[in-house]
Parts: sequence; C-alpha cells; structure tokens
Amino acid sequence: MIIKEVFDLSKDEIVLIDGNSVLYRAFFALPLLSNESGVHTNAVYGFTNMLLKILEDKDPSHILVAFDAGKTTFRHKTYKEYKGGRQKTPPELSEQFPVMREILDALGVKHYELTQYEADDIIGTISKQAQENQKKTLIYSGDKDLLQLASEHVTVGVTRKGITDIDEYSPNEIKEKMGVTIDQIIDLKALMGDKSDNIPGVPGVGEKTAVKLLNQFGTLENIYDNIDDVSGKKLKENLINHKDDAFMSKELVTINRESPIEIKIDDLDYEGYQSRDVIELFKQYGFKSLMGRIGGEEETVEREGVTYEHVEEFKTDYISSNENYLIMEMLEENYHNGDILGFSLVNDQGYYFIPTEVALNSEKFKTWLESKENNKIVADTKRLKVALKWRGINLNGVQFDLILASYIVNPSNSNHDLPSIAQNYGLVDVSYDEEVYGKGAKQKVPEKDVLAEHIVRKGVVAKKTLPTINRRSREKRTRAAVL
Amino acid sequence: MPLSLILADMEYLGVQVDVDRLEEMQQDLSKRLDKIEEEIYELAGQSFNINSPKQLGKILFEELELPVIKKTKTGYSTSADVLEKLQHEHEIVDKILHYRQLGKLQSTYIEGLLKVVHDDTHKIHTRFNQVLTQTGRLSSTDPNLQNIPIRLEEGRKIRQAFVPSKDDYVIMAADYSQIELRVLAHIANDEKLTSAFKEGKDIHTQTAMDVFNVKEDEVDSLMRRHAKAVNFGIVYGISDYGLSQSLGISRKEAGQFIEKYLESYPGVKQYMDDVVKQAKHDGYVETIMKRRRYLPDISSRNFNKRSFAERTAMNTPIQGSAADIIKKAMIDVMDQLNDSDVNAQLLLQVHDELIFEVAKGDIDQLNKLVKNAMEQTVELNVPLLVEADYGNTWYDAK
Repeated sequence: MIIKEVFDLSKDEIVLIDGNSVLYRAFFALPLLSNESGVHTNAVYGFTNMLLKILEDKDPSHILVAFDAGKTTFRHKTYKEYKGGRQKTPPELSEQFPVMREILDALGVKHYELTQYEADDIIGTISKQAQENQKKTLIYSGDKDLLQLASEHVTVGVTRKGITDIDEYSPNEIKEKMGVTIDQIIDLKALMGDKSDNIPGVPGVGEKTAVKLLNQFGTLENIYDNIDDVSGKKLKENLINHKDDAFMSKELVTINRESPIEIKIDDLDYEGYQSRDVIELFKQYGFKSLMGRIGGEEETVEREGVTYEHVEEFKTDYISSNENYLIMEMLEENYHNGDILGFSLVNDQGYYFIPTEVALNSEKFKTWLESKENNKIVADTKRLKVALKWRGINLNGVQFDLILASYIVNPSNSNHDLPSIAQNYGLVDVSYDEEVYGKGAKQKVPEKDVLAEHIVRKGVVAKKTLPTINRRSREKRTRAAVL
Repeated sequence: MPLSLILADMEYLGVQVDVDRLEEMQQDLSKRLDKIEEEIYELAGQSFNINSPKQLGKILFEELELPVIKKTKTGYSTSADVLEKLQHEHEIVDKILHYRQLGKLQSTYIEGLLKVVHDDTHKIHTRFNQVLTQTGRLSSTDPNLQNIPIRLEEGRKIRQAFVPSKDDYVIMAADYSQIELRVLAHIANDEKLTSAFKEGKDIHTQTAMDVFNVKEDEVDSLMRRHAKAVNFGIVYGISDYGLSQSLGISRKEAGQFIEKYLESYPGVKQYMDDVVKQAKHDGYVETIMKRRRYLPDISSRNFNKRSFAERTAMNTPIQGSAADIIKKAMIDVMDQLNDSDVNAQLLLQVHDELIFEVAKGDIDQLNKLVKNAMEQTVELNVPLLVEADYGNTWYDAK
C-alpha cells in the first residue's frame, strides 16, 4: 500500500481551473462567435481550446473546474457592497455557461459549485487538501486573486490576453515579481484594496506603499502594532482612520480554504473521454478546428453529395453575373508544359465540369476567359494564366486569388493548394490530390467521373472558403495583399 | 495579385540562353575536372571514386593518415567544414574541395540548365513561387536562379549564357544597393545609420569607422570586409559564434565587434529589443506593408527554438520589407514601361535585382525609367539607391 501511494504521489498532478474567471477572459479576448443556431460560443471556444492544451501538455491525473454558484456569497454578509459596481454579465456570455458545462461533461472533466461560496474558495479548499497530501497542483485563473494559494507544490497559472498564453507563478516568481512572500499577498491586497471586486483597502495606499510597509513590518497586524513607526503623516493618518476597512478587506480577500465542499480529491480522478461524444458537441457548436485535437476514433468523412453538369458544349448561360469560381486541373508542377485534365465552373447557377477539349475548342469559353469583366475567382492565377498563354488564350478579369490570399493570411501554412486550404477551414468536401491520383510512380488519372467530381469539388470549396479567406486577409489591414 | 500577372508574363516570355556557350562550358569544365582528378590520384597514389565519402575517407584518414576531425555514422566525415580545417595538412585537400565545387557547378548548374532549356525556343522558362518563403521573398524553380553561384568566378561565368532574345538588344540589370541595410535604418530609425545613407556615404566604410574608431582614410580593406560582415550579420540576427565563423576570428573578438556595433547604432539595438518584445506580445511580426509572419516559438521553453524565433523576429521585418519594396517596384516599373514607348522586357527577379532585355537605342531611357521607378517606389527615411548596368550577357551587366 505504501509503495502504491509513493507511485501515485509521483505521478499525481491535479489541475484546478477557475471556470468563471477564465470563461470571462475568453469572452473578451475573442471576437463574438456563434453557431448555426445563434448560440454564442466564443468564450466556450477559448476555454475549450485552453483546456485541450492543458490536457495534452500536463496530462493531469485529477482535474476540476470550479464555478461561482450565484451572486450572493458569504462575503456579502461581511460587506454588502462586495463586488458592487461591477457591470452586469452580458447575456452573450451568461448563455455560454451551460454550454461550457455540457462540454466539460463530454470531456469527462468534473465541475463543481457551492452556494454562497466562490470558485476561489472551492479551489482554495481542494488545493489545501492536495498540499497536505503533498500532491503537485496546478491552478489556472484569469486573474491574480488566487496567487495566495501558491506553495511548494502548488503553481498558479494566470492567463494573459490570448487565453492560451499562461504566466506560471511559483513562490519564487511571486517574490520576484511582486516583492512580497506568498503569506503576505493577502495583507498586500487588504492594504491596496481591489477596484474590480470593490474591496476598500486603505485609501492612499497603492501597491508600492503596501509592498514597502510589508517589507518593513511583515504583516498587517504588525503594522498596526507598531503604528507609530510608520513614516509619513498622511499615510499614518489614513492607516489609523481606516483600520476597520483594512481588516475587513483582509477578511474579504482571504480565500476560504475550509469551505464545506462535498467533493474530495479522489472524486476528481480524470479518466478521459469518449471521442464520439466530444466530436458531436464540437460539430454542434461549430468547433471544427478543435476536432482534429480529439484523439481516438477516425472520423468517417461525411460529405454532401455533389451534382454537376458534364458540359458538352459551353454556353454563355453558364456564366453568372456574380462570382464565378474557375478551376483548372493540372497535375504537373511545371505548368509550362503540363496537361490540362479539365476545368470546372462553380457559381450561383450550378456546378459544371468542362472537359479540356470542349473548353479549348469553345469560342464562347475563350471569349469569357479573355473578357476583362472582373468576375472570375481562381486558385493560382499565374498557373492558369501561363497555361492558357501557351495555348494562345490571354486570361483577364480575375477578381480574387485564393492561394495568394491564403498566403497573406498565414505564410507558414505549408500548403496553399485548395484541398489544404479547405482542411484548414474545417471543410471535408474535397479530397487531397494524393488520394485521388496516387503518388509518384503510381500516379494516374482516374476514370472520367471520379476526375470530374474531384475538380468540381475543388470549385465547391473555393466557393465555401472565399468569404472567410477574404475576410481574414482583409482583417490584417495588410497592404501586402495588393502586390 | 497584379504581381502574379507580371510574373506570368515573365515566365511565359522566358530568358534566352546561349546553348552553345553552355555546352562549351560543360566541355571545358569536364576537361578541368579530369585534370584535377588526375592530380588527386597522383597525390593519393591510387585512383578512387572521389565522390564516394567512404572511399575518400579511407584515402584521407587511413592512407594519408590525416587527423580525423569528425566521424559519421558510417565512417569519417568528409564534409566541407572538415576539409577546410585540413587544408594546410596536405595539398590534396584543396584539390578535393575545388573538385567538388566544380563538380557541383557542372551537374547542378550547367547540366541542370541544359536540361530545362526549351527545345525549340532555346529559352529558359523559370517559375516564380509567390507562396513559398516565410518572408515574402520570391523564389524560383526550374531553374532556381537564386543560387546560381556568383562567388566563384567559374560560377559567375554561367551568367554569360543568359543573353538577349533579339538582335540589337542588350541585358540590363538594375540592383538595389544594400536594400536590407537601408530598410533597417528606416525601421530602426537609427540616427547615425540614417545620416550615413542620406549623405551618400559608403555604409561599410562608415561602419568600419564607427566600430574600429578610426577616420575614413584609416579604413583598410580588411576592416571594411569585417564591417561588411557585421552589417550583413546584424540583419540576420547573427550570434558571436556565427560571426566568428564567417570572419575566421575568435568568438570573443566577434562578440566585441557586435557589441561595438550595437553601441554605435543604439537605434538598431533598440529596434532589436522592441521587435522581440512586440513579437512576444502579439505572436507575430510585420513588414512595412503589414505582411505578417507568426512566430509561435517565441515563447517556447526550448532555448534553441526560442532563440531562432527571436532572430527570425529581427530579420523578417527587414527581409520582408525589402521583398515588399521589390515587388511594388516591379509593378511600378511595368506600369511605366507599358505607358512608354521603350522597347524592353522584364525578364527576371533575382535577389535584389531586376533584369531586363532592352533595345540598344533605348538603353538610356530604360535606365532612367527603371532607376526612377525603383528608387521612388516607397518613401523611406533614407534614400533607396539603384545601380544599373548593361551588357551583351547577364554576366556583363555588372
């Protein structure tokens, strides 16, 4: 039994997360997002992203997300105005709490709340138990209120502006960064007060003064025991006049580490999750980019069917007066002498596959290609233009190039071809070229229908991704895009 | 986007290659390689496959008993840096290095070029890749023009094979002088650096003066060379180790150079600190036209990854801005060219150069047009300087 405990001890890592604080930060850090049903999801997305990272990086043996139970806490009995003056939680955020709990359930992560107590208190209590059992603990929060819980085995991580950016505080770092020891943090806050929680503190005492006083006297009590030794008339005056406030503030900021919680560390055992459940939820909330991080079962690709017209003679009716997505398929990298396998045209009138001979022999098609009216959207203008030039056609009227835009958005996405772009944006509508044509020596052109559908599907993803790529490349307010 | 259309035209037009010249070079190199081979065999006392590292290793380290510097999984290392250290041990080493250099020239460049020349037109149609580099610089394939060697004279000669496609035309090359240093001066807004460029001083001489504390007439060619190395190194975020390798001096001395440099140009030092800070904060860096590069490793716990990301943070805005400028210049040049009646074509973009072919009668006009368009394409705190030259081949346009 002893051996087992020793084993467990060395592997046990407990993660405690302040749900309210992190969700709050995520909400303000990310742009407003909502899913198809209109449910807002940005805070949940940010939180989930961070949570997945923690599960991947830290591989905890135990994990808990603590939430505030309601507006009233035991602290309000001490001070009615506690947290007064705070703005009401925006409904776009409050509607995300139940969603977050749903996701936590699917991920197998326990969450807990206790009436009259704050998330801080729950975390403080569990971490105290962990400390007594010498278990390594990581606490995550969006603000510094939990720093007082740091200790030899307990590290507190505070998220920065971008939720996944986390500053980790161990006792040494706290001493370095704040100038006081962990035991002094409570007294520090008691003196300074806290505007956001509406804790009075002592007026005229800011961080600097408070640090100085604590370095001089050690504790709040000691300051008052030796009040005559305090230098500065105004300072002494304020301290004396607001002694009650100071001690009340101390009470308010002290985290209750003996809260009557009904859970124990053993209850927080982390056993992983059922991938299917998680993926279902991710789909529901539109978290496509997170799906790839869920280990486990292979997601069977469900695709929409695609019906297209196999063109035998190109008609000008096919051309839309709105955007036309034009795809030229050529396997060879060297487009100076590659074979064109076919074209596809996708627009609000339909989906068209145009065989190469039909296209290149059609005067109408050629006229459209050379028309300066800016309504063609392509992937890789240069490739298309050069290939057509070698065939005596002078391409004009290209309005947007998806490949170039993808490069502007992020040059390090290693591939800027349509299937890769589609994958980046969470679309499954088109396969990679390798899957359709094979690789290297085994490469060959598949039969007509498979080929035609693949080329049309490229047009489909071009159409689907355009709005997002367009928006993203503009968001950067980059002038590089006009080159 | 407009650039991709310009590049499309350039690629389709292609560059004329003097195939006879290339084949001549091929034969010439072949003869020289044979000669060196003979000399090597003589010195080794036997013939062997010089290109086999295994056989070479045996000859060098067992037969000739040269000191072993590095070992590989399968035997002795015969890489360039190892051989360079052995140069003074035996004259065979020099010949082997030379042999390899010429061999690479032969296979990769001369034979490589001959392979991609279009059968009928005798032109080379390179392809410019706009979406490959992380900095925004263009790259080219089939052939890769960026790495046609210019340091070795034999390598430079390869440029003689690039000729105008019409009679009575010449090749003109317009090159931005020290564009990256000028961009650095602008972004960092360093006083001394900016003044030096504004006053038209030779920047490497100026740096030599500042780093070595000497007057202009006291700067000798060695000092200038060192200053030049530091100048280019700084742009790439070079370390004391890197500089020491590049100049063949001690690490301590190199460190002192860099320190002295940063003292002389506090604006540059400030820029480097600021850009790393900003990268850590934002997660990316930007060029003057706001092209972004994300740097996730900037906050990595791994020292090497983080250092690399920091150097990248310093270098990308400089290289990337230079890329932006060159690209915009191309667009401006083409606009003006199309509006004029100058008989010229833009052929290639390589490093910091634009290469044209132009009718002999229009040389002066093109020169003016190009210089003007390139120098005025953006307004920086320092002037942009373009040097243009022309000749019957690319080699002569210098």
